[in-house]
Amino acid sequence: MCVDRGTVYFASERVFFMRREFAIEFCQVGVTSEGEEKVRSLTFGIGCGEFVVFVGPRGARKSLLLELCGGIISPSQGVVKTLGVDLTRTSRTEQSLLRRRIGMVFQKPALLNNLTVFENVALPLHYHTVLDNDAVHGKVMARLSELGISLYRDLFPTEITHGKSKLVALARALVLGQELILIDDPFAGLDDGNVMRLTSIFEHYQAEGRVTIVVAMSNPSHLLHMANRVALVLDGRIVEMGSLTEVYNNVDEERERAYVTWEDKVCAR
Amino acid sequence: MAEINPLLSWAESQVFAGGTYVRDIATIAYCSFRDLFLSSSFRRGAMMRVLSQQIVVTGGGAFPMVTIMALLFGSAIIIQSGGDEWSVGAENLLRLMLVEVLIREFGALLIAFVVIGCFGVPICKELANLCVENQIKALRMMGIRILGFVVFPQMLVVVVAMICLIIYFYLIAMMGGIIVSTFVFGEPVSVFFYTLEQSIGLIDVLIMLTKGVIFALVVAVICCHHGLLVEHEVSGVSQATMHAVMGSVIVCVLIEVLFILLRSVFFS
Repeated sequence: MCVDRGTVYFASERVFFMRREFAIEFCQVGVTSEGEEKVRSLTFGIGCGEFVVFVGPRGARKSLLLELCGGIISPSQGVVKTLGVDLTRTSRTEQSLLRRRIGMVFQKPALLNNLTVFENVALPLHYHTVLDNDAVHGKVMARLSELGISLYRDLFPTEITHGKSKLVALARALVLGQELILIDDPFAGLDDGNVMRLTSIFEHYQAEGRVTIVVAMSNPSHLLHMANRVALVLDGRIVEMGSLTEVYNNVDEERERAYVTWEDKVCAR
Repeated sequence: MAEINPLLSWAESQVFAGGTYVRDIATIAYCSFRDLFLSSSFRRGAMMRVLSQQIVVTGGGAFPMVTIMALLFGSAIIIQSGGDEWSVGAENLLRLMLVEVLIREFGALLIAFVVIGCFGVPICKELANLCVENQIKALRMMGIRILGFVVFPQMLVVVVAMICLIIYFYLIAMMGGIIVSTFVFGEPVSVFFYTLEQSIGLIDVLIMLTKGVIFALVVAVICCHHGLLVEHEVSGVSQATMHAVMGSVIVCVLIEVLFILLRSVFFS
């Protein structure tokens, strides 16, 4: 059941000052495309500051769920509220204001090939803020250094590896100090060093509690341990959602259980 | 009657599809212009960057082709209007050929075809690739307005390039005309310029430039429209490009016909 949680608006910048409990709220959400029901009657919420992992096999429509979370796709039925706002019912200006608080990293890094790494990361800052060049430079370099890619600042996306491109995309998704980060397959193409670095960044944000992180991944990894909640996704439906232990204990089939185990060991604690 | 019904329903569906197409094109054009007025200095900066890059790179590639076309076109017209008739007061024929054919009617259309090939196709492919690589989604996700940030600069590029190429085309065509009239027919250059001055009015130049701007907008919007329609498949890029070229050519020819009709009504 969807409950109006007493949204409070302040003047014109209503998107900024909205009181909310959920960062993401799905209410009876369904997606039908070309006659095929891809997502059916999905209801769940992700709280502010939570770290949630969607795990499941390839083709389970985890990416579709992330795109629904980010408001890129509109649901055929039901309501998706992102940071307290139903993106399908807001004006383009409000959508633009809201989206600068959401960072998304796609499976493909989706960097602009005619811009350098630095310019790609600086793009949201230039577009959404009135910061001078020195301030933009400082913020961008801080993000690039955090992710260990500052050396590549003057290279173009075609000149760096897929894994590095993914980190650049993440830097771009974080540069505005976004409150909600949606990441599709974060470890794809990354070497062990970068996986560790990325994990420590996730840990940092999780400890800080300011940023809500939603990750979709096919291969179970140690991120499942870190996550506040894990959602097992199969065929566009959430089979089970809860802590890793709960998910592991509640799924019946061995096949489903395999998605929440890691390195041939049961990850559930 | 039963045989006519399927034909009517087909015609109806085609008219409906055409209406939807025109509506989509008009929406893109309108939204792009609207976003221009919402643009920040960064967006304007980005536009100028795209503008200069594309005009230099793509426009640079178009100039040799336009030069050859213009020289041949200008020379051919003078050759056609020259010969025996040149010396017996064939200024009227020159006027007819030069003004009617080159300036009023087909010059801008010819350049529009060049622009479709040199600017429209790359724009369509670029946008289609942006869609395939999820870059459009990523831009949208960042709250960046696609039409203002991606489409409008392209429209601006095509308009500026079109105007530059039209002016260049006519200058080179004139040069071709002068070369032929002077060195082949032995006429003084002053006769050529006198005839030209008598033949071309301000209204001709305005019509030519207006047509150029309209063609450019139509080509840019149609190519952007088809480019943005591509979803995930790489194979969609070539199909979108083909549809963009076909759509642009057909609409440009229709606009040309419309101009001819309007001119025959108002300036005959």
